[in-house]
Amino acid sequence: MTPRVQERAVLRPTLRGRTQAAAFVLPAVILFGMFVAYPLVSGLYYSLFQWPGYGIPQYVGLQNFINLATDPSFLMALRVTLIYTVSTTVLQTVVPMLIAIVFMQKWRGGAILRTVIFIPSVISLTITGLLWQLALQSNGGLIDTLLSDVGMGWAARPWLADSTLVVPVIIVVSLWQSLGFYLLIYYAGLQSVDPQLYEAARVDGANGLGLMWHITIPSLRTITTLVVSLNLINGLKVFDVIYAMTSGGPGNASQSLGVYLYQLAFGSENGGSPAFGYADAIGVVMMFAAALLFLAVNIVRRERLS
Amino acid sequence: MSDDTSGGVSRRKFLQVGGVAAASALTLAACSSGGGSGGNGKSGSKAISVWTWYGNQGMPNNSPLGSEFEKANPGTTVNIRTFGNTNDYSPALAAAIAAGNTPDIYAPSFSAISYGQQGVALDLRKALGDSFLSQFFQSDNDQFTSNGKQYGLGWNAQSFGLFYDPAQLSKVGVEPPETWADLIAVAPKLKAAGLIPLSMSANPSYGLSDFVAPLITQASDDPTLLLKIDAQEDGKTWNDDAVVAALDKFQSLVKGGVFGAGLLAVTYATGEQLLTTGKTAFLWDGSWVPNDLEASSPTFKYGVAQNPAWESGAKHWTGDQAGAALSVSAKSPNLDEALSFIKFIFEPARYSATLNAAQAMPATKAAAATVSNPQVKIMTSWLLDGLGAPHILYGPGSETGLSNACVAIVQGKTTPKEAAASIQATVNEALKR
Amino acid sequence: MSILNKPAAAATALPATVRPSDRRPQRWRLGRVAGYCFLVALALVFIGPLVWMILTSLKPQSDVFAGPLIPRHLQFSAYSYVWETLGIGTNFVNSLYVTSLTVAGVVVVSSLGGYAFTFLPIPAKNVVFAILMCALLLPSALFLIPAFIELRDLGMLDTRTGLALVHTGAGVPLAIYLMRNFFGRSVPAELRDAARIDGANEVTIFWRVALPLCLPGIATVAIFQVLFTWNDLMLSNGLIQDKSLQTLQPALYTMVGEYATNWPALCAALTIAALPVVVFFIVAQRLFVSGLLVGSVKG
Repeated sequence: MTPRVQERAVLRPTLRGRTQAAAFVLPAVILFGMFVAYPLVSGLYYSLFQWPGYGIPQYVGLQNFINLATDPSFLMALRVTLIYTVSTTVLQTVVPMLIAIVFMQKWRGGAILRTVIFIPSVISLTITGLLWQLALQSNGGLIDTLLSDVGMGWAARPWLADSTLVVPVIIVVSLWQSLGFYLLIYYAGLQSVDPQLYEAARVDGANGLGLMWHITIPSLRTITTLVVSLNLINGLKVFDVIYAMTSGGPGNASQSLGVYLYQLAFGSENGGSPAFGYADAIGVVMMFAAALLFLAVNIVRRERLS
Repeated sequence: MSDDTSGGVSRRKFLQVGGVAAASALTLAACSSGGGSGGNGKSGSKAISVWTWYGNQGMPNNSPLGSEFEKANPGTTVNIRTFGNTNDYSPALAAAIAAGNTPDIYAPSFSAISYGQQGVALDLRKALGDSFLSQFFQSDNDQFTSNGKQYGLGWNAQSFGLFYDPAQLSKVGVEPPETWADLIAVAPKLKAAGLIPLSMSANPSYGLSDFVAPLITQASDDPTLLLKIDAQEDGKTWNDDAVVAALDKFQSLVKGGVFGAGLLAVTYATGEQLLTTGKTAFLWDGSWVPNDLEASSPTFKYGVAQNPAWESGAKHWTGDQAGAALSVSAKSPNLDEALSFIKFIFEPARYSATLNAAQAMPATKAAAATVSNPQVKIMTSWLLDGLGAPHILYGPGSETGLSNACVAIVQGKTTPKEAAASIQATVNEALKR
Repeated sequence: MSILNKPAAAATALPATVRPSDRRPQRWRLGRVAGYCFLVALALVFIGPLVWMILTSLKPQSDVFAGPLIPRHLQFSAYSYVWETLGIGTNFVNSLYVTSLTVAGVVVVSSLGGYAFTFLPIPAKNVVFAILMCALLLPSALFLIPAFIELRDLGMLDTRTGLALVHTGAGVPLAIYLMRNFFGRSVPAELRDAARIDGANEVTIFWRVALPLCLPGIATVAIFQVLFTWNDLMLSNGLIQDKSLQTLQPALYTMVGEYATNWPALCAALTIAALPVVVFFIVAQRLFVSGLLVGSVKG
């Protein structure tokens, strides 16, 4: 809906209207206030301290943020996270869209395929990481064994031991895990595309590819924005699957911001005394970045619509 | 008719609603008080909670220790909670400690001394007395001691060596190497036979630092050096010659083709798998392995040899610190019961039986004399022979720095001297935090 | 008027699709074969690791890596170990309880809240929304300790309801975002105006008009929340300590030791854990799609 249309739909801001608005939003506000706002505020608060998670926090003002700016591990984690986020966002938006458009309509077995592809989403990320870690081992791992079984043994690599391969491999695993979910969303979106548009376009002489480009994809715009937003959020936050597969290794090669933060708070990144305040500072930086990205994506969308 | 004309009233109202919600949440939190244990007791009885991840190290979830103590001490309940590994353990423990719900007895992981200094862990020297503590290996006591106070007790000691399949080795015609140079010398023969000469766990990364840390002691023949470097005291830093020498030795192993291509992705589980499926000649690993192999491959026959020495005739220094330990909560409401339980589980006959049942290496000298598993017995004898060297790093940035340096050496991206400098740089960065 | 709001040509007929041209059958046969090969390969890639998981659960521990891929004898001892000795059944029920409670809570709260954000006057709507969305990026590692302290202070620590509350709170931001999206594109202004002219109040409009049109949105929110809550490890592990109340994922993870793992037991437990969510998905998918067709009938 265009903004103008939406405004017409909004209730007049009478007292009764505002009370009703408050009532509708109240449960969300309470839950949000208690279980989300408090951790948010707590995170903001402790980012100004050095605190191992126990004992007395030490106030350091913005020192954590200053340290972050020159921390090579943080910068590396930022790099890994950005590469991961951009790659997964592109892949996990385009691939499910294409599969939905091309295969989910006139090919047999669509429903079965959708279910099969969805099953990996059902397994927790931690376990997914563990299973794939096993499969990607050199010397007897499933993947290398299969490759040599089909005569492609030359393609076998130390997948998780090679600093340049590890992130791409994790991206592929992420695609495996999430494809089914986004495929479902796109499939649902396709169902609501108006068939009359196709008829009209075909009368005008458009062929398969043209139809896809000029009718189908634009109709999926809202869904695509949603999928892109979700992918951005999940990409920036990524922790479970990477930690389970590589613990951020080898070295720092796959240490995303989420992994780095976890190791600062609960791991041995800071030796015997965890750096919780520092981890909170990273969390704050991530939240601001995400809020900006989120606004950007959704403002762009609104501008395109109007 | 936009929202902005709705005026100050509704905005205020909304902020009031939201503000009240948030403020009440914050007030609730501010009212939090410290203390309180994590145990739920039946009414009238005292309860102590024991949190560890030592399922395979002698304290599984259904450990008889709990029920036996309850029988001997009616009116006390023991809740033993055993996690799978440090990944699910650490966040749960951190949350409990942060909220003041510290378990009465818990595995302190890396942080025993830090917990002690912040008043989370009890000084056991004062609580249990010197004569109780004297039954432990000295290194296990030192590991948790700071300023004359001891904040942890060793539950399992550890040592490290080379696990191998004797049948496989004799087929290839190779003996366990005496020195690192010997290992490099037999590497070609092993590779020709289709075997990886040496495997070990590099994921999680402390596997690598466990391997190289004792080399620093081997290079200097001084087991206190690494402790000083780790604590950055006495003017010792990671740029020390012994560190460079150790990293250089590690690099010689890498260049000598001793490791497999997938080394950096090997985990403890897959390392053991490489051994039992005959893909590797030697698995460098710790004294918990006999227990794992007992469960996963009970018919597999293996031997264990000493950590290779720096050169011929030198000491076979090997890592010796307690990987499984116990601390007591300083603020436990049932402190007497907790200490009583500690003394109970360490009673010589009971402790010995518990650890033998788990094929685990004990941390007391008395129990070390009665180890039942033959391979664990051999590995324990190395500690009794005084070959123990520190291998666990506690200083901020130490373990990360050393592991990353090792990774860089394996990948051929750095020199030993540069690697040592990078460790110090990592430590300097971490000290800022 | 947006394209999306035109009524479907025929709600009862299957949506029209791109038909392959009939003029070049040869090329299309090749294309079809290649296409089906691709689909089969795709299916194998996705189901392969899971087949491995099920096969592993039927092997003895020593055969997991040493033996052949397909075991010679199937043994179900891992399943009985996991079900009886470890009591996975209890954890399973606990997960069902927590997840159902959470999904119900999230659906209710987010449909109300999403509706309000779309149609009702909320001051500084976009700023409030942005703050709400900020929470989407709070890493769960930083969520745990505040949530623990809060539940402790509320006296709901170590309860499944407390865990469900935390999950509900954490799921609200994303759910509201989704519902706002769905309300926005499924409920045309004319419909609301018409209903209001007929004398309906806001609650009636919400309940009778907007919500039925938004079933796919609710299904999406439900699927999301089921996946998040069912698969969560860190919060479930940290906020519940009593073994009899523990949910499934932490119980599964205890089988992953620091040094060694009991693979057959883990895979057996995983198979048991995955089943209900797959079933839920199959059911929800049908609702989802049929809900869409219903939703596209306008006027």
